[in-house]
Amino acid sequence: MNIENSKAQLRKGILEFCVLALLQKEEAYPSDVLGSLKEVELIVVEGTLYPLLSRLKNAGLLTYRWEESKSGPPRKYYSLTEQGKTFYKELATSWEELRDAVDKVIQDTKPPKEK
Amino acid sequence: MKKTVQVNLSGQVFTLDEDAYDLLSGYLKRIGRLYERSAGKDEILSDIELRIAELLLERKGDVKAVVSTTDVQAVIEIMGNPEDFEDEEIEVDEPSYSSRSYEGQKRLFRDPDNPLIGGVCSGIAYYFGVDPIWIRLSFAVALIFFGTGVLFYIILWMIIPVAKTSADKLSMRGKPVNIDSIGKTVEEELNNIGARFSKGGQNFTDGTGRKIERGIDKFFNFMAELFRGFFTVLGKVLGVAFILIGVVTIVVLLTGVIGIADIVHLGSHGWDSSYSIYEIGDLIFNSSEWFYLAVLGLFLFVGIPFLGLAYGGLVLLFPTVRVPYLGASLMGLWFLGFFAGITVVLNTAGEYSKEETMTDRITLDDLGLVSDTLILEVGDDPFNISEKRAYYANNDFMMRIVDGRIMVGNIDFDVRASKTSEVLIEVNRTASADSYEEASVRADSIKYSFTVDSNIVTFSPYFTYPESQMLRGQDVELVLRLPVGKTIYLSNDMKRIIDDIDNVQNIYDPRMVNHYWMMSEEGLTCLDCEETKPKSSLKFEGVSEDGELKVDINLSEN
Repeated sequence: MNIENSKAQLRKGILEFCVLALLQKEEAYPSDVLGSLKEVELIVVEGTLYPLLSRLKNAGLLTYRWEESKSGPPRKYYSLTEQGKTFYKELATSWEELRDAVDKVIQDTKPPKEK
Repeated sequence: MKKTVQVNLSGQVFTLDEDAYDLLSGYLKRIGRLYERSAGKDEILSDIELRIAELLLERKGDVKAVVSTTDVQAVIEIMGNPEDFEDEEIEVDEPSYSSRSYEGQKRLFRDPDNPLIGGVCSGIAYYFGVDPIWIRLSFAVALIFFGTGVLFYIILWMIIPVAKTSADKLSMRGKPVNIDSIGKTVEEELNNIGARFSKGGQNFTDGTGRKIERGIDKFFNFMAELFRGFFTVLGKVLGVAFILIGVVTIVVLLTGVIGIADIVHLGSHGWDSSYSIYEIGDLIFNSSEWFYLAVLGLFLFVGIPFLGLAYGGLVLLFPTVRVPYLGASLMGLWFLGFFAGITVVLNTAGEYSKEETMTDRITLDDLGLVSDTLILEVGDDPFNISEKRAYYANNDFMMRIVDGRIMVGNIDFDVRASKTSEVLIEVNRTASADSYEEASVRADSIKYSFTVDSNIVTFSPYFTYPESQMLRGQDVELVLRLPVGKTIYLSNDMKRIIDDIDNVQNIYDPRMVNHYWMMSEEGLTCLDCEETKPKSSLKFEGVSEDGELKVDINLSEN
């Protein structure tokens, strides 16, 4: 069992949710999103984000607008669509349940000493 | 000293040194290939370019600074290898991609990287794994023979596609196609050709000569595309047609073989006059083994070419679908069918080799014929033939099987002069077999009847024989022997059986009915037919003189 592979598997499912979560707060352009994600080490290589954004946009969950930038190329600001917001809310509920469940499982199986 | 290339990344112009350019271009192409069939390919690529532009800008601080390999490497480090993108779609795409590739299979392409003229020779050389010089030499030699080399070259130029993509080039060289080897080829290609970055970048050409060459190449490529397009469409249409024809024919043959369809439709006159080939087969072949051999032989002989046709159509539609050894197998099966057929024919032909005719002469006077005008009629017809077709019906083979007896509706009736003073009817029953003895036994098993009631003779329109006698050329021919001076009346339904009766007026058979006929010394003469006039005869009216030496010969139609 490859540990890197397992980690990647874990991240993969969460990443989509996290991108939606970040964009739900406020609209952002990919570099912002990348910054936040890298900070918490949810993303390893930046290239991962773009196919994901494209897929979410094609699914109708995201939309974007262009904005000129003084310091460089124009920026693509992504935000959630109405559909995306509903989608996110459902995921968030499901995430809370999941988190509680996982926490509970981990708590229960932890040796008492370390508690 | 290093060449630099200017590229446009999302509206920002960067100056890259050549190596950096190669690296970046190769990287972007690899990503593009990975997302080749995903819906967002262009968007993903442009977003990534956008990010690369940002990263480069961050690194250099200024657009004008030349980007080096180190910079590009650092950016690629951040962006990551396309294989590490941890995206679901890649994993879905990858297996189908490799299944699509031609694992190491060579294909003939024109080589655009190493051409003398159009890359034909170079491509052929790759295909056969020899040095291009030998192929070029052969063309040069062919040039001596009435310039056939030129024509041949031009044709090949048009027919052989140019290796456009890296996958093509790998197929041309016979290397297996996968992401890695494509990556390698892309880099090689870039080293060879130089910069051609599609997005607003600069195009480099190493001289005017090359440009002209490309012009010619473009023209031929265009012609080739045109031809290929036309023939591709034509090929696909033909392919569909071939498959349809082939499959339908084989289905029809199979239904015939399975015996569902009443494939042998005998005359289509009676409600039960059609029989499956099994029923007919039992009547023709001595044993069922021979019959099955015949069916198999016929099926292979007729069916295989259609199967081949359908396969040909399939290949036209899907050129990559090829079944090894299919052609040879089909050919072998076809010959098998052919020889089976020949064997059956030779065996069965013996059954028809000896023919015997039994002749019965019946004197009508003995049957109580009143010495008066003879009225000839035809009895009940089990074959429901329409009035219109009655005369021609004898050309069809009409058969029915009723209660273990075969009923055949083909009777030939003729009228000839009698050598005696008696009215005679000759009944000739004919049959075939492999010996004369058997043929005469078989002929004797045929039953035919007619009735005489005072002066009316009623002929049956069919004869019968036991089913066990099979179909062995059984036939019945009737001849009415009429003494001179005797008169007959052919009633309308005699159309059904009369066959080529000689008569003085030379009246066509179907028109002989409904008339009285007398046997004269000259032959059978119609007594009440309308006199037919000779078509046109001209009467000489005399000669008249008209002025000078002009002579009019006046003829008028009579």
